[in-house]
Amino acid sequence: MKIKFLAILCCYFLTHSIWAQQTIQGTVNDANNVPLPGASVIIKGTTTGSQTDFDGHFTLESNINDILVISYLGYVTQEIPVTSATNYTIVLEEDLNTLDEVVVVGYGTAKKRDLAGSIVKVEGDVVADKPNANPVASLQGKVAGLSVVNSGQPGQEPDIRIRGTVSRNQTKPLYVVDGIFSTDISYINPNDIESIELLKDPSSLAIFGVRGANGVILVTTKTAKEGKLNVTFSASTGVKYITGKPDMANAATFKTLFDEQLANDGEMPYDSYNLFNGDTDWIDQIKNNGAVVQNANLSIQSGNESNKISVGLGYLKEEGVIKNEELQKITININDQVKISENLKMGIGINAVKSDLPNLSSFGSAINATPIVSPYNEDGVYNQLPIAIGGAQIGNPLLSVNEKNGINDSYRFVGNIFAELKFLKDFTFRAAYSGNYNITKGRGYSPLIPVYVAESDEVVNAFGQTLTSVSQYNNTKQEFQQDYLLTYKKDFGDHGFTALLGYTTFQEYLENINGSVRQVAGGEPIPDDPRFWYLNVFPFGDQETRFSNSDQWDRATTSALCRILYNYQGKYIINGSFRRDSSSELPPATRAQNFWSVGAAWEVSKEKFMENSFIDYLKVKGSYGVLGNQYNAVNYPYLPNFQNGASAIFGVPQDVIPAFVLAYRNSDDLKWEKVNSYEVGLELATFNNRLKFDANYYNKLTTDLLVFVTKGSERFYTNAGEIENKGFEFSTTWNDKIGSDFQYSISGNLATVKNTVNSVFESGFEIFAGPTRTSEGFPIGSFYGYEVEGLYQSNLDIAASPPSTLGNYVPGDFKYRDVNGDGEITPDDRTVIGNPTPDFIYGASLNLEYKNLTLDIDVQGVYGNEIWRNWGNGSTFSQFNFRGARANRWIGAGTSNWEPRLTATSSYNRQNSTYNIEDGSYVRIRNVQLAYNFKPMSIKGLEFQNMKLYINAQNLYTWKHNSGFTPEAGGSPIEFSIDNGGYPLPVITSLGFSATF
Amino acid sequence: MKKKITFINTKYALGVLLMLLSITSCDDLLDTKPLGVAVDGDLTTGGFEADVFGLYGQLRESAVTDWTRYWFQSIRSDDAEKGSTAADAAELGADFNDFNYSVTNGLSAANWNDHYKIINACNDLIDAIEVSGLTDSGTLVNLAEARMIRAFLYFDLRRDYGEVPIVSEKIVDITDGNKPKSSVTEVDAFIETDLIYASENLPLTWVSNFIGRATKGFANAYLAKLYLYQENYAASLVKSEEVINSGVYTLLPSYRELFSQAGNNSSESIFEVQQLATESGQTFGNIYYQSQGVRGTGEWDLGWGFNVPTQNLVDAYESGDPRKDETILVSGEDDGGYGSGVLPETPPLAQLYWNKKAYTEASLREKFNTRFNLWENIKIIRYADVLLMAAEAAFQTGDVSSASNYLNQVRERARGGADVLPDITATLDAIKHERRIEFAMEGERFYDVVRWGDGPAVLGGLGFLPKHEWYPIPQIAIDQSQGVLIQNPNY
Repeated sequence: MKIKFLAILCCYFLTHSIWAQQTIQGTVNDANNVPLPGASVIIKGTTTGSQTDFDGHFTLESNINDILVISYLGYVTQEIPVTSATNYTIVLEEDLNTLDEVVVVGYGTAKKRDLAGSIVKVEGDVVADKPNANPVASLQGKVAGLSVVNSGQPGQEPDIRIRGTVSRNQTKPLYVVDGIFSTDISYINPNDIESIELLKDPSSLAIFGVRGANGVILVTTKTAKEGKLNVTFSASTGVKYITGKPDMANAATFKTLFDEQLANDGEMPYDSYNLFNGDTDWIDQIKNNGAVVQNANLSIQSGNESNKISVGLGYLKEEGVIKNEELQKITININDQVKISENLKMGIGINAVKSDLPNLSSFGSAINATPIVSPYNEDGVYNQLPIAIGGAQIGNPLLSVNEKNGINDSYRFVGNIFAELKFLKDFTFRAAYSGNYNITKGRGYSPLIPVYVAESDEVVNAFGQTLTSVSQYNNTKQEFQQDYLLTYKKDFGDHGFTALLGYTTFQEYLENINGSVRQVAGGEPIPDDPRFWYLNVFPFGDQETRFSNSDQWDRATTSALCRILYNYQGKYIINGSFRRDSSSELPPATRAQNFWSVGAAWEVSKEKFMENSFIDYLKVKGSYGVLGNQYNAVNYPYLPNFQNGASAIFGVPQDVIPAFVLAYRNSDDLKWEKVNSYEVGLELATFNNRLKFDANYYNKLTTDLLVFVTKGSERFYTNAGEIENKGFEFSTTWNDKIGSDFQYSISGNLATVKNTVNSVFESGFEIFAGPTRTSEGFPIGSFYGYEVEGLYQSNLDIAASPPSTLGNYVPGDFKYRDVNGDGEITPDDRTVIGNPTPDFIYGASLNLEYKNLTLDIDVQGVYGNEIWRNWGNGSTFSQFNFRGARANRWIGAGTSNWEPRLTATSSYNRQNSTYNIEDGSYVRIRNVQLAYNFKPMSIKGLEFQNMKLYINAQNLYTWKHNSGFTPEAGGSPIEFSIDNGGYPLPVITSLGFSATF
Repeated sequence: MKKKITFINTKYALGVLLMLLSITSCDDLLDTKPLGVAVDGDLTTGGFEADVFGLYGQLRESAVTDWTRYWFQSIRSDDAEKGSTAADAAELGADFNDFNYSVTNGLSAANWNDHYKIINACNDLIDAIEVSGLTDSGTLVNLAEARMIRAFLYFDLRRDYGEVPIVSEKIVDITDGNKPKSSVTEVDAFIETDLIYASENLPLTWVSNFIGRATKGFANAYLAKLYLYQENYAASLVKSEEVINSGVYTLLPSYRELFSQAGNNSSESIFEVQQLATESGQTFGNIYYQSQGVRGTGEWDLGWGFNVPTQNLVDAYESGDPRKDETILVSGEDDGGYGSGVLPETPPLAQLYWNKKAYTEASLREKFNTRFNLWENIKIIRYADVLLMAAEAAFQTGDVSSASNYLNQVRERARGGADVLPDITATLDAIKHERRIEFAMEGERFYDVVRWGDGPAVLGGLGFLPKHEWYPIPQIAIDQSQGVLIQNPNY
């Protein structure tokens, strides 16, 4: 549904009286003769007008020679002179030139045309009919420069980065939902979303100051339109299937490899195969193929001149692809706006969510567990893994899946209220308050699970546990935001002018209380029944063992902001914005920071010399600004805490004596990171607006990097270092019709990113995280290690190669490259062996409409990054299962030049090296959707405005090069693109239905 | 009419909005600090004493006393080997067991960094006390504690790396800590000065609720040890006899009890790193013992199984020496009254022998609901060591009778009334043997063998060369010094 906000507002501001002469009536249809309800029909130059009803019908009093102005958002406005005829049929053409669209910007809305920045608007229906609980997941591949790395786990947040990785601390964008700041939008029902706007450029982001550096995703939820009652019901059901299952050794292969490894290491052959004669595919054991995802949504909108109310109700149930993972969510969304007088409007919004959170698992232990064990013994008791093959280190993978004992749920309540007053003709003052109250709580139970130990032929408790225990926690997060905004909007002849002045504050408070209690030793176990999972569990719980703890923090930001949008003849555009943020988490002396931007644009196509050009629209634009990156994960980085862990123990009997040890050194001049950003770009429309093309170059230089320095024994936070992200973004769309029944569009987008760390703290300072190194001159989080040239094939080969100081090695071990050419293999030969950031990411869509049928195909991919394979590598402390590829290991000269010999006693081949690097490029058919759109109809008196039936397949097929479940692997800003093997991104096939009546 | 209504509404609404605006004052909002935890400036009491307590806490929470300690101190000796399964930490085994010292070894970097981290904390405190100008006895005791702990840390570094940089001042600019190496003589002199100050200013004993803090006995025992390492036997004898004659210490009658929770802060304790577990699940313990627990499954999953006795050690005991059963835990045999009965065989257990000094009573495991030993104090130095240092120093100065006396005190406690381990006349070999057996698996052996000059003879078969007396300085420290630190010879 579309908004007709401006037209309606116009009605209220003009006070002409009505002078009726004749009654005319008519129908407004679209090109397919589908009636357009709610279209505005106004007599030009007056406030007299009407709205079309459900059948697209209108009635109006008018004079001959009046001009009717018929408008409907998203369609080309038409003017028709009133003749003596009293019946009119008006066909509105869809406006393929959406450049006039109104977009949501920070603290307001603006015509996209009046802006110098790059804002991309995504309509709510794009996320509504996709089987993703988190709406952001559905944006993958849709917007140039937006990187979405999805997780297949129910309820998990994707790793979102906009235009590169600007920080070593935080890359998550800011979400703003109906003006309310948020760090996550998983609580929003995708069906309640009207539109999503993505802000990427400095001109759009500077108004968000210290929260702007990572980009902003603005979400606008549905509001009612003036007109009649709208009721929409939608539902879908989908099933999930795992693809890309990693290849692990089966029992026969495992035995062969394990025996050979023991022999290679000069150890005794394994003598307990007689006890372990299973052949278990643990992944198959714990997977939940055919997992179901279901949702049902009801949305009611009702509006009249003085009150507009919108109510959304949603239910979601999503199973994971591992057994016993289930997320359930109920969402309620209410928006109400009341027009109190001509110039005063007030509104409230309520969003409430109840979630039953899933107990998440991973395939990690299924990958590591040896296949030679059967899941259960003859008596149906879980088998323990062999003592010598991971018995103490890897539990029977079914244990953690079947015996998960936790109840976790979350309640979130976001409420807001606003008042908007127009005064002195051109001024608007808006005050808005919002509160977010979010409780996550849970109870857990640690049971005694019998497992069968084959070696000793006895049943014992898993993990040596002897006592049951329960735990309980309650996590409360409160946020309060207030905005005061004064807008002045006036056109002075050719000069269009909008100014915004604002003051806003944001406060957060978190409180977590948790505790645990154990059963009385020697007493009766706490029952395996949620009824008993409380701290005060009598008489099972041993009060002596009751333990409680709390975590808490609060913080606040206050900000002043202003913005000026100016245009001359709509041709020359200048935007400027400024924001001053003060953060309570910074030292008082440096807590206030200024952020700003200026942008300019020139709509070349409005110039005289372009009048007869084939170019319909051409705008060139550029902006520069300074944005901030307030790091939310560390509280008060300038103020180290005294540490409880460092308390001393003294006395007979021993007791804890608090000691005063600071976690690290104080820093009294810390600031938030700054991103100096610029963008130049153009927007083009040609071939009668059928082809549209946008291109941007962006450059973001992060300075004052917030670094936690650990140098020798010194530890402190400081601002030092720079990261640069730059690249191009292209997006294009071709829209056309063939005949009257067939309509199609093809669109594509592509964004490049080049990330370079210019400096970190001081020359030579390196940040290591897992297999990555972040250091001067290289991309952030680069994989770092040795280059494997091949395997030593013989002692002769070893003798002919540079000697290695990395340890003892024999034929069949890795031949690392002498990178620095000093004739020796030393730690200095480690080098950058992979970049986790893709060279470019892209997406493409094809949309075909034939009569009532619609087919949408979305493709998406990344190119040029590397993945670190972090699964199936065995371990230094226990025997794990082997990857299937290990069957091709080196067993003598010429047998392999890549898969090293089997050994568990040498770590020579365990150095970080190119052996673990895999190609991260992939192309995926993200969505295929076939829909049938029914014409408006009436069934048993119930009038359907529209009805849609669709089948959707998500992640239908992926062309990938890595050997894990999925090429998508998110992570932290400095440790990402690491495939831990834990969870696949499933194919989800869903059947859906929606109807509006 | 219509206009008037609008006007009233305007005024009314503006009033309401301005009222709301005035509710919040922005400066108050920003006046926040971390909740529930003190930061700099919040503590008005405590002063230097609380800072000192932090030094003790950090000893426990760092590589100074966690498992890093025995990789350097025990696994390098002929008494202990890596343990666990063959594949587990194979690289560390090569480093420490087989003398393939590595400049990039992570444990060595942790060992180096954590020692200097606490040295810097000592320096900060010493500086703060000096700046305060306070000279009351309490403050001077705190100063002495900081200098004692600093001396202890430097003695560790000196034994492990030989020539190390002396950082003795508070670091104001980060480059202040970048110092070149000093000779062993210079490091020793620095340690000696701190120990003498500590010996003069620390109390002989602490009241019961502070037992475990550094004492005069700790300082003197370390002076005795330092002099012994310098082969200054006369001075060593003076200092060890000062401890012996202080009347504070006696050998605990039960050798077995020493290595249990009941043995924490016993009459024999000179200095221990304190560990504590509570029934409510709080633990203040590092992985020193946990990583040495029996590596089995189920109820026998008591730890990671590192630092296990060698056959060589098992064979070294005199016949009937009761200490053998309290030091060596054997797979497939009964645990000797600790309450868990017979250990599983080897295999499935990967090792035949385990360090019984890290083993625990089953009742305590149940009491604290953890199978890992997080409650036994880590012995840094105990009275038996002082007696044997006195024996060695006396012997080297020609006083065989005193030497025999001290030696036999240790043997007498060890035999516990049984008809074994008779009194003997001291010889150097007998003293060496007694040190080995008494402190088996406790981290004295490697350094003793090296200082006796027995390294190549005793450890040569394991790959020991003279250069292995000193571990190479971690590469990361050398890199960060940007050329100021020079690697040890022959690495």
